[in-house]
Amino acid sequence: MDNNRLSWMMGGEAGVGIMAADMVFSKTCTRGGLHIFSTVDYPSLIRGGHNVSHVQVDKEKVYSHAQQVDILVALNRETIDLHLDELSENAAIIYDGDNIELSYEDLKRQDVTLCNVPIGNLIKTNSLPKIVANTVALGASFGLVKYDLSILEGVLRDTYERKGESVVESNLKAAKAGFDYTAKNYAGTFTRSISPIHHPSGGTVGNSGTDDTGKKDVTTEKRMVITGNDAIAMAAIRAGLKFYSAYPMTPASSILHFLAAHERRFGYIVKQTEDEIAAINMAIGASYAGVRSMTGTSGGGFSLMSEALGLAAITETPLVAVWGQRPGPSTGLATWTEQSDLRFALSASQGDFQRIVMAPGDASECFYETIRAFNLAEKYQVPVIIMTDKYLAESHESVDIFDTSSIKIDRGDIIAPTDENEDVQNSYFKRFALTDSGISPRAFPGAHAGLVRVESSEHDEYGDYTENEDLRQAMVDKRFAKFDGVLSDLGEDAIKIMGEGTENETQKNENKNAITMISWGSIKGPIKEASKLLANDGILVRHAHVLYINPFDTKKMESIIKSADTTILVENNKGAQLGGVIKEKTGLDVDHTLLKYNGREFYPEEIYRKVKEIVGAVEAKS
Amino acid sequence: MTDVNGTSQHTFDTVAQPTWCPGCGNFGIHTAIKNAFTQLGLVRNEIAVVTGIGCSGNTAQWYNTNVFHSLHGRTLPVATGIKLANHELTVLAEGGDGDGLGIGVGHLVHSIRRNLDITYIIHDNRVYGLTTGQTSPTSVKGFVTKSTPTGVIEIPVNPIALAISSGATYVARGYSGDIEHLTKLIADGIKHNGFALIDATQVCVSFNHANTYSWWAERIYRLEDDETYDSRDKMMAFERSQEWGERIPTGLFYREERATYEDELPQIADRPLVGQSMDVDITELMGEHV
Repeated sequence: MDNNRLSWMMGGEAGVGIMAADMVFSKTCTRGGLHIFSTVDYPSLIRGGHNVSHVQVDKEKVYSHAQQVDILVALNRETIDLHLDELSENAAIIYDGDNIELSYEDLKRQDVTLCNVPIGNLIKTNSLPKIVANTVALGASFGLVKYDLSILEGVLRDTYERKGESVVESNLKAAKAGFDYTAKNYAGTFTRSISPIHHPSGGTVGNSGTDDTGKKDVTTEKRMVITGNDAIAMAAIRAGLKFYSAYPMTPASSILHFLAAHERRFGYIVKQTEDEIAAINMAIGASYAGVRSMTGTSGGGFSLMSEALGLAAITETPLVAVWGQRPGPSTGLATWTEQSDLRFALSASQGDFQRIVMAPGDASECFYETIRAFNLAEKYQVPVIIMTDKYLAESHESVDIFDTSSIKIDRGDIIAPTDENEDVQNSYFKRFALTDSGISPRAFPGAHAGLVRVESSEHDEYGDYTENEDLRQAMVDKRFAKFDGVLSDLGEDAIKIMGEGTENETQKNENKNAITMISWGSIKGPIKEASKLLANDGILVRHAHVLYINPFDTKKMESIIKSADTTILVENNKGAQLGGVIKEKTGLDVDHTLLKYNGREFYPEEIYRKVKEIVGAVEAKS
Repeated sequence: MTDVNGTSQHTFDTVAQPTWCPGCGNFGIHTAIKNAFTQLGLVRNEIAVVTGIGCSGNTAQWYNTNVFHSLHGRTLPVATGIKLANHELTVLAEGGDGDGLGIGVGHLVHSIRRNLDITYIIHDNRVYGLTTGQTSPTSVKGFVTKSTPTGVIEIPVNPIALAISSGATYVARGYSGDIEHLTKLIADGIKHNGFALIDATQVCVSFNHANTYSWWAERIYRLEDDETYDSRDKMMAFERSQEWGERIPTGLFYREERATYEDELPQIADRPLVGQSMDVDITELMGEHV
C-alpha cells in the first residue's frame, strides 16, 4: 500500500460545511508538504441535496481527481449509498453509528473498516455546537491516518480566526475529540497512513520551523491551495486590472467574489451589473478610457455578451473575458462541468473578426495565461477569451507560490502624453491609422489634445463613420492583419506537448505503443494522471494540450498527428468540437475519440481503460 | 472628419454636416448640447460623448470631442465604464427613446439608482426613425405605424415618472424647439453632481405626423413659470409627471443632492483609476492562500 497517498471523501447535505471541510482538509495536507487535488460536487441548491468533497493526497504532485475512495466520511446515509461502489480495497467509512445504521451485510463486502465515530455524542459531551460535526469528522479522518493533529489545529485556527476565539476553540475541541477517538479505536486496524513531509514553519501551528521527520533536505516551499478561478483573479490583480464587471453565474462567480474582496486593498473597481450585457459593455468603456478591464461569465451569460464582443473587436478595444463553461444548452446542469462552448466562443457575434480563444488546463496555467491574456489584448487590441469549466474553475489544487518576478506588463503601442506627434496634439487624431502591422497606436480620452473617436459602425482612420468600399475593405484587412503576430508571440506554447523528452526517451523510441492524446482545457490533469497509470503498464503517452484554439497552430498539429502512431482525442463534450477544429484546420482525422458529456469530468481511470482497450486492439491486429 | 482648423479647444463642431432630415428635432438637441458645453467652458478633450444606435446615435460624428458610438441600448453601460475608469472626464450619453426606454431600459433604471455623475439625454420623438417608422416605447396608444397598422395597443412609457421612481437625482424635460431652454436644462444637468436625465422631446418630421411642431407648441409650458411648483418636492414632481394632454410641462421636475457612486469609492478618492499604478505586489495575497 502506498504510503502518503490517500483519496478522501466527505459527503453530506448541503449546508453542513462540506466546502469548509474540503478547504481545511486540503490545507492541512498541503502545509505538511503533501500535494492535493480536490473537487467539490454540489447540486444547484443552497440547502439539502448532496454535497461531496473529494480530495486526492499524494507526496508527489497530483493533477486531478480520481474515481476510488480510501476514506469515505459519511455525514448522512445517502453518502454511503451513492459512493459505496467507489471504495477501494480495505477502505474505511467514517460515520456516526447513532444516526446511520451500517453493517457488513449492508455493504456485501468485508474488507472495509467500519469506523463508527459517535460524532453527535462527542459534540454533546464536549458541549460543542452542532455545527462543528464536520470538524469532528475531519479530526477523526486525520486520527485514522495517523497524521499530525497540530497541523490541523493550525489550519482551523487560521480558518476560523475572523469568527472569534470561541469559534476557534470549539473547532479545536471538536477536531481533537474526533482525532483521539479514531486514533485510539481504529488507527491500529486501518493500514493506510499519511504523514507530513515537513512541518509548516511560522507561528500559527506551533512547530515553528522544526522538521520532526529529520529530513532537512525536503522542500519547505510553501504551497497555496487555490482554484482555477482564484488563480485567474490573482493574475488579473498582478496584471494591473483596474475594472472588473460581471453578473453572477456559476462557475464564474468566485472570480467576482475574490476580486470584490480585495478591491480597496489593491485599488481597482468591481461592479456587479444588472446583466451580462452591462458587464461587458462597462468593461469595454473602462478599457476605452484607458484601464485594464475584465469580465467573466458562463455560456448563458456569454450569449448575452455576444453582440458586445463584436463591439470590442470593431472599436479595437482590448478586452479580457473569462468563460467558465458548464453543460448546456440553456440552463443545462448549472453546477456541473462540460466543454461544449468551444465552437460558440470561436464564432460568437456577427461578422468576420478575430478573437483569441485560450483554454488553460490547471491553476498555474490559469495564472500565467491570464497575465498573458492582458498583454495580448492590449498589444493586439483584440478580445481575449479565457475558457475554463466548472471542474477547473472550482477544483482546488496545491500549487507553488507563483513566480511573479519575471512578469512583464506590455500595454502595447500607447502614445505617451508627452508625445509631440502632431496628430495627437491636434483633435485630428488617427486612432485607426492604417499601418503595416495593422496595429494602430492607441491614446486615451483626456490624455492628449487629440480626441479618441470610436465607432461601432465601419469607420475611417479617424474613427468616423464611413460606407466607403475601399476603406471598409482596408479596415477589415487591418483587423485581420494585426492578428498575424499572435501565433509567433505564442511560439511553442500555442500547443503544449507533454511526455516527450522524459528520462524514458529510449523506452519511448522502442515502444511501438506510444499513444498521442490530444485535448484542451481541464482534461490536462486527468490525462497526466492517466499517463502515470499507463506508464506503469509500459505505455507511453505523448500529450498535446491545445492551449490556444484561436489562433490555431495548424503546422504543429499537422506534425503531431502525422508523426503519431495512434491519436486519441479526449473532450468533455458530445460533438468533439476541438476535433472539428483540427479537421477544419489540418484536414486530418484523429484515430479515436473519447468523449464524455454526463456533466462530470473524466476520471484518469476512464482514460486509462480506453487507452488499454485501444492498445489491446492494435496489438491483436498486428 | 474632424475639423482640420480646430484651433479653439471650445469648438465642438466638426466639418461634417449632419445627415438628419431637414426640420429634424435632433438639430435642436445637438445644438443645445454643444451650447451647454460652450456655456460651461468645457474643454473638448475632457468630454466623452457616448451615443447609441438610431438617428440620434449618429450624432457622434458631429461632436468634436471624444466620442464612443456604441451599440443599440448600451450607451449607459459604456458611459459607466468610462466614468469609473476616469471620473475626471465629463461623460454625456445620448440615445433615442427606443435605445433608452426600449432595448436599454434595464440599464437606465440601474444607472439612475447608481447615481453616477453622467448626463443622459433621451431623444424622444416617439417613433423609430432610422428603421423607417415603427412604434416606439413612448408612442401613444392607438399610434399607427408600419409595425402597428391597427394602432399601438400598449400605453407609453413615462420617462419622467420612471426616473423619479427609480431614484433619479436630476429629472428634466426639454423640447427641441426651445433650444435656449433645453440648453439650460442640459448645462444644469452636466453641472449636477449625479445622474441627470433630460427627456428631450422632439419631432420626427418624416415618421411621426401626430406629435408635430404645432402639436407641441400648443401644449408645452415651462415649470419655472408655475410659481407653486417646487422641484425639491418628490411627490409633487411625481404628480406633475402625470400631466399629459392639453398641457405638457417642460423644465426641471425634480432635483436632489445625493452622494454619487464615485463618491462612495475610496479607491478613486485621490485620483482616477487611469492615473493609478499597475505595478501590484501580490506576495502577501498569495501567502494568504497557503
